[in-house]
Amino acid sequence: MEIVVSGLAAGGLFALVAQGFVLTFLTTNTLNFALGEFMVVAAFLALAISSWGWLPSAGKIVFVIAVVGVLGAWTYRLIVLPFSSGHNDTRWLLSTVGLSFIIINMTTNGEGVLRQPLNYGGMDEVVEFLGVRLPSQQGLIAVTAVLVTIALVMVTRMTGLGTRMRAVSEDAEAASLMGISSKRIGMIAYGLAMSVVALAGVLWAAEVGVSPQLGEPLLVGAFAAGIIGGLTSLWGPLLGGGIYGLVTAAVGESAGVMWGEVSGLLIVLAVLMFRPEGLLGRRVDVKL
Amino acid sequence: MNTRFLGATKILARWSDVSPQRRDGLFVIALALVCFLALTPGLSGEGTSIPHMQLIGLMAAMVVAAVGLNLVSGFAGLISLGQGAMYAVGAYVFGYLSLKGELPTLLAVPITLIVCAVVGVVVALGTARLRGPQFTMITLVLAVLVHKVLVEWPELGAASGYPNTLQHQTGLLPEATVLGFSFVPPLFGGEFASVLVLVLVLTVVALVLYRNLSLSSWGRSLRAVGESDMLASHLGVHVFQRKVAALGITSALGGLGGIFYALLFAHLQPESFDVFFSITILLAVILGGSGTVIGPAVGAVIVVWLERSEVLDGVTELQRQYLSDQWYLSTPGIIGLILIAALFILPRGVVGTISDFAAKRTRRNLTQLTAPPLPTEPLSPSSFLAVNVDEAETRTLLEVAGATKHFGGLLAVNRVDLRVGPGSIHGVIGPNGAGKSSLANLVSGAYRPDSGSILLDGVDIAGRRPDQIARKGLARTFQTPQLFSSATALENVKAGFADTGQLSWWRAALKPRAQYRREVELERMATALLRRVGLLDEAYVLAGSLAYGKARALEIARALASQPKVLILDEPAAGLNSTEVMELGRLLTDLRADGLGMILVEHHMDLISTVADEVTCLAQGTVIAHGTASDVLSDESVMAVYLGAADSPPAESLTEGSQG
Amino acid sequence: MSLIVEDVSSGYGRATVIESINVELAPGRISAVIGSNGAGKSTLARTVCGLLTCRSGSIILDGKPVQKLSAAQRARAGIVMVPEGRRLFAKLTVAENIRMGSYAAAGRGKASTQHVETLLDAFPIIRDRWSQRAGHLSGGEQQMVALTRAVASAPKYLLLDEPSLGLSPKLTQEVFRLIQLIADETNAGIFLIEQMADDALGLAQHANVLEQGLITISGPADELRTSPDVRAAYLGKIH
Repeated sequence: MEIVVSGLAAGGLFALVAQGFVLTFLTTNTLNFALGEFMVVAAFLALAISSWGWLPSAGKIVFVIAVVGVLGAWTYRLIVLPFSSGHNDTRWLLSTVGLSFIIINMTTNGEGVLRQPLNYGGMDEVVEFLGVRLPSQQGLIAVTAVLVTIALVMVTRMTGLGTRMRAVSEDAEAASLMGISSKRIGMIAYGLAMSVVALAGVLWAAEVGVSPQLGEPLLVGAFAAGIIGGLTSLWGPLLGGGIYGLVTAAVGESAGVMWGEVSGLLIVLAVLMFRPEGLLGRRVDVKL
Repeated sequence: MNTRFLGATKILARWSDVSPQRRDGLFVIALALVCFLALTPGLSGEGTSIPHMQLIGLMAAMVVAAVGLNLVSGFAGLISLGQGAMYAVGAYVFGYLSLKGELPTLLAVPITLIVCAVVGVVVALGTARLRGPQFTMITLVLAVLVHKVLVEWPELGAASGYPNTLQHQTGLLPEATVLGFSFVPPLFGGEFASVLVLVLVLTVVALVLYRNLSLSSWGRSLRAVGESDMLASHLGVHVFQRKVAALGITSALGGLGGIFYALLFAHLQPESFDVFFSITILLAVILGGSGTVIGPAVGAVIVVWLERSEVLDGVTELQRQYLSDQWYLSTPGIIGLILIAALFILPRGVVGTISDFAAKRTRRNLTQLTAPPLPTEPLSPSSFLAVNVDEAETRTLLEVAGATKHFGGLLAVNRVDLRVGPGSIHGVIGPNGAGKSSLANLVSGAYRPDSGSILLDGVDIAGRRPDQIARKGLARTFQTPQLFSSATALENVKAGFADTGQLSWWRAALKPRAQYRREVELERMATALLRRVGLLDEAYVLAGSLAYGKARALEIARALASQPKVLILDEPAAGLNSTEVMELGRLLTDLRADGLGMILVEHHMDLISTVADEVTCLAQGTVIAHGTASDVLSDESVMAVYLGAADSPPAESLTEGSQG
Repeated sequence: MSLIVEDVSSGYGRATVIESINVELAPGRISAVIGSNGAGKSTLARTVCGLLTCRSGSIILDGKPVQKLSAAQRARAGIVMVPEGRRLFAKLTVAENIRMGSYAAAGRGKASTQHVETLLDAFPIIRDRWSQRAGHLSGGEQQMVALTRAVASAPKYLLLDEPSLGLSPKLTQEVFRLIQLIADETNAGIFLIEQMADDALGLAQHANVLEQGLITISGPADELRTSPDVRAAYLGKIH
C-alpha cells in the first residue's frame, strides 16, 4: 500500500508537469524541451520575490505563474514557431533543447548548485493517507494535478478560447479561414502550458528547495507520463503519470531503483512502438 | 557563361578529368596528410601535452560517431537522439571485453562493433515502421535508458566509473595490444601516445568506407528514404530492410567512437555519456552540414574544438568582464546558443552553405568540359527498354481486371478494367475524386487492391510492394516531382537505376574494381537518358533550381532509368505552359515509338487528344467510357460528369429533414 | 465597393498555376468561375482568400489592397472562403462550428446573427443536428453547416470552392438554393467556383472560364450556358 501511495504521489507531480507537454502538443504539434528549466526559472523567480512583504504568498505564486506564462508565449513565437514550418520539420526539438542548455547553464553559473529553501508555497506537515505517511506537499501536488486537469478540460470544452484551441488543434488552416490566427492561439497555449509548469515548479521547490537541478530529474517522468497517456489527451497525463509512478515505485521496491526506472522507460518504449498515440490519445490518420 | 568563372571551370574541368579511382585515392592521401599533421606536434616532442593528444583522439571519436549519425539522420531523415548511447555501449562493451573478458584488442574491437550493430538492428526492427517524431522520441528514451543503466549498474562500476580500484583492483583499462605491440594512451605528459596512431588509422578506414557508402547507389537509396518512404519504395528500395541496415551501420560507427574513447582515457565515467552528449553529436552533424558527405566530419572537429579548447572559456571570461559577473554562459550554455544560431543562420551547415554557394556560382556546363567518356556510337534508345518492338502486337504489357479499392466506406475504385500494350499511350481522365490517382496507386503498389487482378507482362503484381513491382518493370512519376533538390540532375537520374535498391552495403563500402566499372556505366547511361529527355545541358545543375517543365522531364528520365516496360505518368502537364506541354507530348510520342507502354493520367485534354491512343474516363471510381480520344471526349456521359447535366430533376428537399 | 483581383499570378513551389487573372466581384452578385480540374480553380480561391501568396498582381477589397494580409486577417476584413471539401471541425459540434465562424465577424457582426437565424429557419435540418459532432453529418448537411458558418463570419465577399463536390445532383440543387438565399439576405458578393458548369451557370449572373491557369472566356452566364466554347474549354477542341 505504501508503494501505491508513494507511486501515485510521484505520478501526480509527473502528471502536472506533463500537462505542459500535452497542452502545447495538442494545439501546435510541438513541445517545449526546456520544460524542466521553466520550472527552475519559476522557482528562482519565486525565491527572488519572497522578500516582497506587501504581496501575500498566494499573490506571489500568481505573479510567478503570470510572468513565466508570458515567457512561455514568447518562447513559442521566437524559438518554436520559426522551426516548425511543416509536418516533417522537427527542428523545434533542437532549438528548445538549446534553450534548455542556456537556461540551466545560466542559472547554475548565477546561483550555484546548492539548494536554497523556498519559505512559502509549501506545507510542512506529514499526513496520513490510507494508512501511509506522506509528506502533505506531495499530496497537494497530486491533488493540484487533478484539479488543473479538470480546469483545463473545462476551459477547452466550455470557453470560446478553448473551442478555438480545439479548432486549431484539429485543422489550423481551416481555422485561419475563420479569422483565427494559429500563431496567436499557439502563443496562448504555450503561455498556459508554462503557467502550469511554473505552478509545479513553485510547489515542488517548496518541498525540495530551489536549485538549477530542479527540473531535469522530472523531465523523464513527465515525458513518460505524457507519452503513456497520450500527448493529444488532456486526461492522458493523469493516467500516464499514475501508471509510470506506480510501476517505477513497485519495481523499484522489489528490484532496486535502477530497475524501477528502467521498467518505467520500457513501458514508454512499448507504448511508442505499439500504440504511438498513447492510451488515451487520438489516432493519427496516415495520408498517402 | 560568365567569363569571370572560366578560371574556376578550368579547374573543375581538370577535376572531372581525374578518374574516380584517382579521386578516391586522393581522398585517402588527403586524410592521411591531415592525420600526420595532427600527430606531428606529438612526434616532435614539443606539444605532447595530454590535453592536446586527448583533443585529437576525441575529435577522431566524434568524427566517426557523427558521420555514422549522418547516414541515418542526414541522408535518411530519421533524427536520432541516441547516438551517444551507442557510443557509450561501444565504450563499455569494449572496456568489459578487454578487462574482464581479457580479449586481445584484435578480437575486442570487431566483437564490440558487431554488438553495437546488433543493438542498432534491434532498435530498427522495432521502430522502422514508425514516423519521424516517434522514432526520435524512442531514440531519446533509449539514450536516457542507457545512461541510467550505466549510472546505476553495479557490475559496471556505477558512479565510480569503470574500471575502479575498489571493484576491479585497477582504475585503468589494459592497453591495446596488436601483435605484441602495445599502444600507449595519452596519460603521461611528454610522451607520445602511440594509441593515437591506431585510432587515426581506424578513423581513416572508417571514413573511406563511409564515403564510399555515401557516394554509392546505396547512399542514394538513403537519400530517397529521406525524401519519402513512398518515393524510395517506387525506386526499388525495400525501405524496411534499408532502414534496419542503415541503423545497424550507424550504431556500429557510434560504437567505434566509444571504442576510441575507451582507448584514449582507459577509464569510463557514466556522466560523460548523458543525453547532452547525444545532442552534441547531432549538433556536430547539423553544424557541419546534415546530408552532405564530409560536413559532419567538419562539424565534429569544430564541436570538439569548441568544447575542449579554451576558446569558449575566453568567451565566458569576456561575459564576466563586460556583462555580468553572476549571469553568464559557460560552455554548455554557449553550445546551446550555437545550436539555435546554427538552425537560424546556417540551416545547411558550414559545408552545406559553402557548397550551395559554390554551386550557384559555378554552373558547370557539360558541353564545355571534357566530360566522362561518352560512347562513340549513340546508345540506341530501345536498348533501354525491355520491349522488343517486333513482338509488339501480340503482347499486353499491363492488364488490370476488376480492380477495386475501398477506403473506409468510400468506394474509390470500382471494378476497373484497363489494358496497355507495347508502344501505346492509354489516357485516364475524370473529374476530381474520380479515382484516377487511386487507380495509379493500385497499379504501382502504393495501395493494395481489395479485389481484382493486375498483370504486368503476365506476372501478377496485385498487392505487391512498390519496390517489388518496380523490379518487375513498372515505373511512375508523381503529381509533384519528387527530386533530390540539392543534388545534380545527373545524380537524380542515377537514383532511378536498379542498383539503388539492389546494391548491398558491403559492396558499396568496399568498392571492388567491378564497382568502379559499374559506376562508369551508370554515368554513361544516365547521361544518355538526360539527352533522351533533352536535359543534357542541365546535367550538373541542381535539381532544385530547374524550371518546372525541366524538373518534370528529369523525373521521367529517372523513371526510365529502371528500364521499365510500363510507365505511369501522374498529371505530368500540371503547371506547364503551352510550349512545355508540346515538348512533353513530343517526348511521350518518342517514347511510344521505342515500345514503352504508358498510362497517362491527365486533366489536360488537348494533350490527351494529341497523344493518347485510347482513353478511359472514370467517374466516382467507375469506368464510364472507353475508346479513342475523340470518341470519349464527345461522349455524352463524359460531358455530363464534367459539365453537369443540363436538366436536373426537382430536388428532394433537405428542409424536410430527409437523409442527405 | 467591390473585390478586384488584378493581374494575379500564383502557384506552388516553382510551378505557376494561374497567370494574369483579372476578375471583379460586386456586392450582391454571384459570379461563377468554372473550369475543368487542374485548371487552377482551387489555386485561385486559395490565393484570393490568403492561404496562398500571389506572386504578382494585387487583390483589392473595397479600395484597399489586401494581398499582403494573412488569411486570418483577410477573413476579419470580410473575405471569407468555404474551402473545398467543407473542412468542418469534425470533433466540434454543429453549434461550435458555427460559433467558430463568428470570430471573423468581430466588429462587423451585428447583422450576421440575424442572417444566420434566417438560414436556420429556412433549413431546419441544421437545428436538428445542433449538438451533434460535425463529423457525423452527411455530406449535404456538412455543406449546409459550412455555409452557415461562413455567413456567421459576416462576409463582404464569399468564396465557395466547389460546394457541389461529392454531392448528388439533388443535393446540389438544395445547396444552390441556400447560396441564392445567402446572396439575397446578406448582399455579399459571391465567387462560385465550380466544376459543374451547367449548375453554376444557372445560379450566377456572370461567369469566367478558367483554362490551364488563364481566364479564356468571360461574360454573362446566360450566354455562356449555350456556348460551345465552354465545352471545348473542358474537353478540348473537337478533332
